[in-house]
Amino acid sequence: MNSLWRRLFRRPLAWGSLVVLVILYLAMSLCEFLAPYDPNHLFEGHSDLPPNLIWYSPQEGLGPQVQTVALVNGVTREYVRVRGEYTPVKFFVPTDPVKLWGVIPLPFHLFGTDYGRDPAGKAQPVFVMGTDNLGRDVFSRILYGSRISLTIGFVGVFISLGLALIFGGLAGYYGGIWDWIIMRLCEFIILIPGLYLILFLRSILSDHMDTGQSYMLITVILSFVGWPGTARMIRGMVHAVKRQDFVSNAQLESMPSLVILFRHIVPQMSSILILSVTLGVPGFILGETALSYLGLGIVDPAVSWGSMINRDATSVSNLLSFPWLFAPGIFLVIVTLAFNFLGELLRDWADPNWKETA
Amino acid sequence: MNELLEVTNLTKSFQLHAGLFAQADQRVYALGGVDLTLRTGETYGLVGESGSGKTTLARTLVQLEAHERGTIRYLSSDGSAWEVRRGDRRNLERYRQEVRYVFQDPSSSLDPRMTVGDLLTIGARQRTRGKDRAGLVARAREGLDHVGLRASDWDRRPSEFSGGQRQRIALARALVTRPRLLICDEVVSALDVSVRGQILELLLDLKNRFGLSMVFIAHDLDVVAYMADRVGVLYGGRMMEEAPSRLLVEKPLHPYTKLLFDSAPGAGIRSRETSAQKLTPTRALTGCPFAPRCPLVIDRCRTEIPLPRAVGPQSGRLVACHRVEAE
Ligand SMILES: Nc1ncnc2c1ncn2[C@@H]1O[C@H](COP(=O)(O)OP(=O)(O)O)[C@@H](O)[C@H]1O
Ligand SMILES: [Mg+2]
Repeated sequence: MNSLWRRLFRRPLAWGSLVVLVILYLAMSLCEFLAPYDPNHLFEGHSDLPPNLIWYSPQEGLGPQVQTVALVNGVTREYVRVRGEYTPVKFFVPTDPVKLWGVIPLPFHLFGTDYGRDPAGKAQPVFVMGTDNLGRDVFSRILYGSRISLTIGFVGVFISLGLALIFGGLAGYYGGIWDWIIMRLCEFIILIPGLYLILFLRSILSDHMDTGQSYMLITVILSFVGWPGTARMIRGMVHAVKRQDFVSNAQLESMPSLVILFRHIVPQMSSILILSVTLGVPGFILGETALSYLGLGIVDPAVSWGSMINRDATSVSNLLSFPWLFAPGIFLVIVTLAFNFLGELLRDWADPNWKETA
Repeated sequence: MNELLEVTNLTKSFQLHAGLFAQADQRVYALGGVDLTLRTGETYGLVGESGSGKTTLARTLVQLEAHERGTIRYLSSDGSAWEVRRGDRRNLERYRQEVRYVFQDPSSSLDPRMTVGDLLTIGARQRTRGKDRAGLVARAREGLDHVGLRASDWDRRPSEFSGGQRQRIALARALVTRPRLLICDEVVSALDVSVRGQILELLLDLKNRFGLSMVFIAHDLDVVAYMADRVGVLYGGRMMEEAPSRLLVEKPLHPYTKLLFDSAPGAGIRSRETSAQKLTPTRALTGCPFAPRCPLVIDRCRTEIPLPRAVGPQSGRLVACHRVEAE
């Protein structure tokens, strides 16, 4: 473990990736507090608004603030700034009541403006990353959307890879009757057609929960049936590794089979496992956008990065006119890269032949 | 029973891999009934060309392979003797601590992904369920010292060492359980010629320091004679000749031993031979396995398996050959 930390600090990319991911996951867990608005609140008269947070004005001086804008062209959604009208951005603003994790009532958000609460009615809402065509705050939506996007990959990858490891490992290591039973089980599960399973699950689930919850559930169910392919691959690798002398050596030292399997055999496959995770996590996030095409993805009021990309950032004209709508795409890229850089570090760390370059 | 290890009639055959076109139940008879006694404190050398069954014999001794017939009796450190069997798990576990097998190639017998420290301690950690961790680590570090490695090597991985150093790690690992018997299977064959001598000296040093008994296997008769007190010559899964090493070197009696000496060191005899597979009988023996190559062969050699007989008074020499007269 020590050497892993040492290596981490030597690599700015991996180190930065870790920081980014920690921040993103922290933000995800605190999104009710960090997001200034409800992800589905429609700000009338503010649709397709570009990011409006500025840091300086002659009037208010240095500090976060918002300049009031006025719509000049309702067709191209063109706004102009109104001179001399600024709304300061404040911290710990009491706004609409939200509950952290749906349980703890929060008296305020991290930041916001006096919009809706100032008697003169002049205060403007703050949109760090602009709004979409319904006037919803993109920044808040990204934060709330990360709840699904940042967890779904992990849930999916860990369930399917975990099952694949356990079943593939047992089949490969013990062989015989276990092997036979597990392989037949794999074949049976492989025969289940995935797309129809999704359709079927979706149709029975949609009555009872919103699309976010049902999508989560579908991912879980899919990963419960998605392991056999990987399990077969792992079984084959275990077969090869278990004939090696160091496994015999461990047997001679009377190590329990499970210890041998997980301490000696599974680590030999670490590069491929790490690769599965680092590719799988973004894969699951993107998979959702693909399903959205079929109308099986996440739709309002539930929100995820995939659904935002699919909804707002899939046409060139949209991107040219409203480039801030691509923000969730940037987040997705960042997360994907971060996972890959970290995965690379882990892979090198697990590689027996990799030497530290001083 | 006062010998450390008593092996009688050890027999082991392997089924050849049953492919689609393979004949049903084709077997190789790797061990065709081997007798062997190991005295406490002794180094017993085993020689033979590759394919003669040396590794199989060693692996059977530690029950990595279960034998088909025969017995292995072991006199344990507390004075009780028992038969080594796969099924007898409690005794087997203890036996495997007292009798350690050192593999031929350290780069495959050491998990490449573990650090030296882990390699040395993981087995014992499992056994003791994590108790007395400090004592174990101390013992392992001591072991590193005994085999001539540095304390700073603890956190390094096998790939960072040379072949000779890796074999030292393997030896340190074997020492952790305080063994009484080391079974060294061609431990220098995979190494550079230049470091072989050092490892052999290390083995002798460890043997003296810890009072170890040893089974030393090699295909090079000179090396075995140098290391061992007594030497057994294996061919086709049968013991051809067994004698105190000095006697054997001075006057080999069995035609096969003579051939081994003529072609020493090692390499020559194998290049004349086609392959190791050819050497291992594929049918149960009906005569001497060496008969097809023996210059002195007579009809009797093909029809009657020669049994090891004592040759010479009190010499401790056994020869399995119809053509060698009992003196
Ligand atoms: N697991 C196995 N399966 C099939 N054949 C084997 C196996 N192990 C050894 N053999 C065969 O047994 C014979 C003896 O091999 P071995 O004991 O390795 O000889 P040596 O160590 O003297 O070179 C060889 O012909 C080898 O092919
Ligand atoms: Mg061998």
